[in-house]
Amino acid sequence: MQCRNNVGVSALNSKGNPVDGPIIKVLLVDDFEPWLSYVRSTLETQRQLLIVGEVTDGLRAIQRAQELQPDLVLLDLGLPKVNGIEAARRIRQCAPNAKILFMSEVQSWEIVKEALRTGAGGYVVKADAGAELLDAVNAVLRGEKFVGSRFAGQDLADASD
Amino acid sequence: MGTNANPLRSHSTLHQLTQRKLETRSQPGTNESNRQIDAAARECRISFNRGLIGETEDGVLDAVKGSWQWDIKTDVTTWSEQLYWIIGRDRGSGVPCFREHSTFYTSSSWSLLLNATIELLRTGLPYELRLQMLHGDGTRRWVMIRGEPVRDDRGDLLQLRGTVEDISESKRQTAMNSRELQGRTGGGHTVGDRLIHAQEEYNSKVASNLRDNVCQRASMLAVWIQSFSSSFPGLSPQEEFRLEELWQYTTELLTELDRVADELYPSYLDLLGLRFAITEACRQFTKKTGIAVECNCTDIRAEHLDKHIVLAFFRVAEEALANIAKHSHAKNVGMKVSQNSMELVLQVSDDGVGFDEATSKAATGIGFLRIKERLRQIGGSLAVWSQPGCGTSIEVHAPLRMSERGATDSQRLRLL
Repeated sequence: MQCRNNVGVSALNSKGNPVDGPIIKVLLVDDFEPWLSYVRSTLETQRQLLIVGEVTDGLRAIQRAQELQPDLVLLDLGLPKVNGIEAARRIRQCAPNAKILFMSEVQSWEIVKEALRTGAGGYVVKADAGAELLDAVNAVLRGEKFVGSRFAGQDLADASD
Repeated sequence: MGTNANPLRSHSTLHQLTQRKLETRSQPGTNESNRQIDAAARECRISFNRGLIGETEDGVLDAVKGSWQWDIKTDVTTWSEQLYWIIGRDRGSGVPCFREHSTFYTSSSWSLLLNATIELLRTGLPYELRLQMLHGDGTRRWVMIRGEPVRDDRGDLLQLRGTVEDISESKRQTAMNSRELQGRTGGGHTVGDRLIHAQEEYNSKVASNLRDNVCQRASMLAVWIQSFSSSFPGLSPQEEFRLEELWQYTTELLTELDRVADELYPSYLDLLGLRFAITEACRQFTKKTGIAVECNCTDIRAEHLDKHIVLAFFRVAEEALANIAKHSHAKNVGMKVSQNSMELVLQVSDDGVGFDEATSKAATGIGFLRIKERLRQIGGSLAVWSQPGCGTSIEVHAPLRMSERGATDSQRLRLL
């Protein structure tokens, strides 16, 4: 897994365990608390991932991204105040090193393409997250484009930013 | 001043405007605009015959009247000071040439004026039209425009002259009186407006609840099912298979919920704006009906649009497509959405069976009624052109923002 911001070799992860490699700072954005809880518990199994913030609307997501300069933002599409697509555009400006992974229940390829055109690294349909969330996180951190298996065969060239 | 509404059919010299129209007709690729102009001319004549143009029941209040003259030989036009004021144009900027007048009117109003002017030059028939003017301050105004010929002793045409009268206030008063009457009788558009508004609010609320609550919970359910086998590694292949089936069933349920929510209120309208929503609606229409749609809506700037306007405009586009699917037997549809500094414009045309505007009930069918009700709410306008065997074209104009006077101003409509 690659990391842009090397916080330090003796840092602690979300569970307070020491981590040998560089820490990857993650910002979670979703307005459904059970989902945040699920993602938090899934990411905490990965020693290098450090959840530095959790917010529930698009406006706060932009503000926190600017303050925290995370390496990765996990972003819902349908958010209060500022929707996920607009939030992604603005996060790309205020935290240019942050990679963005969309997580949404929306399954339309047309919308997925538009979401990826913001410059986001990937898109995971929430219903598929049980099998694909960690793969998506790792792929996006490696700088690859990730879309789930249900979109296999779709042309990713259409979704370039 | 030419206020005679009787159509005179005497012939006069063929003016260059008429010539220009004939030249345009001979050019390829302009059949559609010609058809629209012809239809507008028909509408103009129909209006004369019905006596709708020039009727004075409004009892014009506080009307401001300006005058104009157009010297045919020198092509010099002069305006009175009041006319500059009515149009909202600086006197120092001078009088534009006739063709540039198109920027002062909605496109349907301009078609009417253009054809009435051609008719006046050709036949000497005075005109009297009620048109929608795009004022320099960005608002729409209703104006009564009159034109008549001035001839020399030999009967040759020297100039055209006429008046322009701002009748917005009297239109508003008439609309308010009508609205009050409808309210008292418990019928009419007031109730329709409220019903549509209430329906949209309800739909939006249900769609929100579906997405923010039901879909989210169903997604969690799908994730838990998917994670089950990794949490319990000792499951038999049969149990794994049943879990996979259960997950598949849940995701199908999610797809259906997403579809229903989008039918109630399209999420992509908020997420991706009107351009995307209309393009997507066209794509879905083709997928569902097999009718090809050439969709062109690249000029929309979402930041200038009011949310209610966007929703109503989108619903009108949907309704127009639904009308085509139900009645037109068309094979091809053209849809164009454009935006200028003052309004959104939707043009939809099809190559279907069309209908006779004078006798058919199509223009008063439920589809067009819904479109009119939507437009009434936001202060928009609708024009329809159709002929049997020649397809149907509609043009919709909607303001970019809701008027502060809201529903009152929404009565300022020119609906068929």
